[in-house]
Amino acid sequence: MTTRKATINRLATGVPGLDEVLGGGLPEFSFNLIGGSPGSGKTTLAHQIMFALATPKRPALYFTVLGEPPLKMLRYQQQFDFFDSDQVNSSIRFINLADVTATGDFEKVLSRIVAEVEAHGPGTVFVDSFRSMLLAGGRDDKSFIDQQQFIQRLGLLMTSWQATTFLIGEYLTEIDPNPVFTVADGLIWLRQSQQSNSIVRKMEIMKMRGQRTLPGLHTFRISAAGIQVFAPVSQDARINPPPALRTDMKLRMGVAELDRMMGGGLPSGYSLLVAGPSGSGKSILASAFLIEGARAGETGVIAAFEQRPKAARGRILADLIDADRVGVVDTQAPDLSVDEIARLLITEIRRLKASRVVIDSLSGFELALAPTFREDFRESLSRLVSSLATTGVSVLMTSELEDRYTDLRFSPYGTAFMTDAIIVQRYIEVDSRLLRVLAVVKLRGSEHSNELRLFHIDADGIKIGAMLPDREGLLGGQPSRELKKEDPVTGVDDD
Amino acid sequence: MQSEALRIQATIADLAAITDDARHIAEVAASTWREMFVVLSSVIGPGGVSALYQRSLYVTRTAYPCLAAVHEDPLRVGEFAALQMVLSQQTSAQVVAANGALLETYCDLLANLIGVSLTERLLRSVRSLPRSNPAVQDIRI
Repeated sequence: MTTRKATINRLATGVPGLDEVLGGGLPEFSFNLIGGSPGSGKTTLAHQIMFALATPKRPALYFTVLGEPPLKMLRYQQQFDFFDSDQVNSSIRFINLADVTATGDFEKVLSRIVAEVEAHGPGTVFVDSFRSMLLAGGRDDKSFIDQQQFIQRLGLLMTSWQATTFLIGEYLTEIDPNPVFTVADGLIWLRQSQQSNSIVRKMEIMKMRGQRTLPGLHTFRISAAGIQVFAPVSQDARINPPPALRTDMKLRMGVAELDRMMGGGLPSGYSLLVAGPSGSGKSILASAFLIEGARAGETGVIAAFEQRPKAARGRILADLIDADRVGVVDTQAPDLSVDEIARLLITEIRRLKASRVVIDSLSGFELALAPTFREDFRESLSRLVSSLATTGVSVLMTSELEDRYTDLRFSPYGTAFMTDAIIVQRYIEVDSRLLRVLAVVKLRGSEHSNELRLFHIDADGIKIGAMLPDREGLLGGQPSRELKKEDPVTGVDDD
Repeated sequence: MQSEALRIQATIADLAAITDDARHIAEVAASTWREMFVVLSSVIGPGGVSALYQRSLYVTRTAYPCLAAVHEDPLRVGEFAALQMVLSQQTSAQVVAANGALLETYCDLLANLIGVSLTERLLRSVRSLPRSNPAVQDIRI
C-alpha cells in the first residue's frame, strides 16, 4: 500500500519576485500574517495578492476593521494598476466589520465572519487591520486568553473552509508575545530601514510552514504597478546563451591590437575589470566593446551610473541604443539595492538575449546604492558579478582608480580577484607630456601579453601604440631612460 | 450625473409621474437611501456613509432650504426618518428635485473619493424599487 501525502498547492501571488522569496509561491489554505510598521506597504501587498488570486468562483473577502478608513483605502489602492474596479462585488467583496468589532465581543466578530464566509465561499480572506480587532477585545489577562482562542478558532475555521487567509497586523512587533505568531503558518514582515536620508523597503519571510523560503531581507519597491520584490538571482536563472556563444569563443574588444594582447579577445562568459584614472579612456573602451558586439550581430546591455548613457557615448552607441541593439538599464531610481540592479540587468539581458554587458562604473554603482548597502560593497559586488555569471554573459566593468605611483593597484575595493580579467590604464609623464599606457594584467586560464603599451584616443577610439623599452619605472609615473651597461653616457667600467 | 445615480433618480421621478402623493414618494426616497446605506456601509463602513450623507445635506441645503432641517437634526447612523419627514411635506415635484440634488451631490462626493467606476460598481447593487406600488406601507416615520 502506498502512502499518499497531502499535496500543498502553491499559489502565484501576482507580486513579482514574491513567489521566489516564498520558495515557489504561497501555500494554499495557509493562515498568514502580514506585519510591519505604518506605511510599510502591508495593505498594498494584501490588495495586490487579492486582485491576483480572486476569481468569481473563489472570491476574496476583505474584512476592514478600524485601521485604515475604507474610504481612504479604496481611494489610494485604486491608484495601482492591479486594482480592477470590475472585480469589486463580483470576485472581491469588501466587508466592513466596524460595528460588530465595536461591541468588543470576539464571539460576535467570529460569527459575523463565519456568516460571510458561508455566504460567499471565498478562496482568500483578508482581515485589515487585525490589531484593531484584537485591541477592541480589551487588554487584560482574560482578553489575552480570549485572543488566543479567537485566533485559533479563526485559523481553524479558515482552514476548514479552505480559504487562504491573511491577517494584516499594523504596529505589531516581532517581539510582541502575540499568540498569532504561533498559530500563523506564514509571517511576512515588511520593514523600512533608514540610514542617513535614505529609506529602503525590505521584506522578510520570518516563517512559512512547509517550504524553504529564501532567508534574509529582500528589498522591494512600490510603484504604480504595485510591489516588486527583488529576490536574489538564483543559480537556476541561467538563460540559454545565444547559439553564437560558446565557452571557447573569444569576444573581440573593438580594439584590434588589444585583442592580440589578450590572445584573441575576451573569453566568452568572462568578467573583465578595466581600471584606470579619470579620463583615461575606460568608457571609450566599454563603448567599443558594445559596438564590436553589435558588429558581430550580438546585443548588449549597459548600466551607466555616471554619464548619460546615450548623450556622452558617441553617435554609434546612441544609434545602437535607439535601434534596441543595446539596452539601457535605468539606474536613476534612488537608493538602489544590489538585487534590484541585478534584476534590472537580467531582465534586460533576457529581453535582448544579450551577450555583452557593461557596468560603467563601479564607483558610480557604489554611489547609486542605498547607504545601507555601501558598507558591504565588496559583498554586494561579488553578488552582482556572480548573478551575472549565471546568465552566461560577458561583463565589462570599469573602475575609477586614482593613479598611485608608489604601488600597483587594480581596484579600489579589493575586488580585483572577483573578475576573470583585468586591464589597467595609467598616466605616465614622458618628455613633459602626459601619456597613457595600458596592460593586460590578468586573463584567467588564458595566454596574454605582459606588455605595457602606450595608447592614445582619437576620433575613431583607442589606438594602441608601442612599448617604451628604453624607459624604466613606467609604473612610478615618471619613467627615466633605462641605464644600460653599454650606455656610453654612464661611463661605467665593465670589468 | 453618474449613470447609477441617474437610474436611482429616474425611479423616483417615474413614481412622481404617476402619483402626486408626496408622502409616498418621500417613503420610496428614504427607503432607497436605506438601501444605499446597507450596500455602501458594508464596504466603506457606516461611519463613512453617514459622514458623506451629512456633508451632502450641508452642500445641498443652500439650493433646497428644506434640507437644512434634516442637516440640523441629530445624526442617527443609517436612519433617514428626518429626510422622509421633511420631504413628505413638500410637493411631489419638490421631493424629486431636492432628493435628486442630494443624491447627485452624494454620488459626486463619493466618486471624488473612490472614483467614478468604483462608485458605479457599488451602487449597481442598489435595487431598483417598484415603479408604482402605492400600497407600500412598511416604512414607519
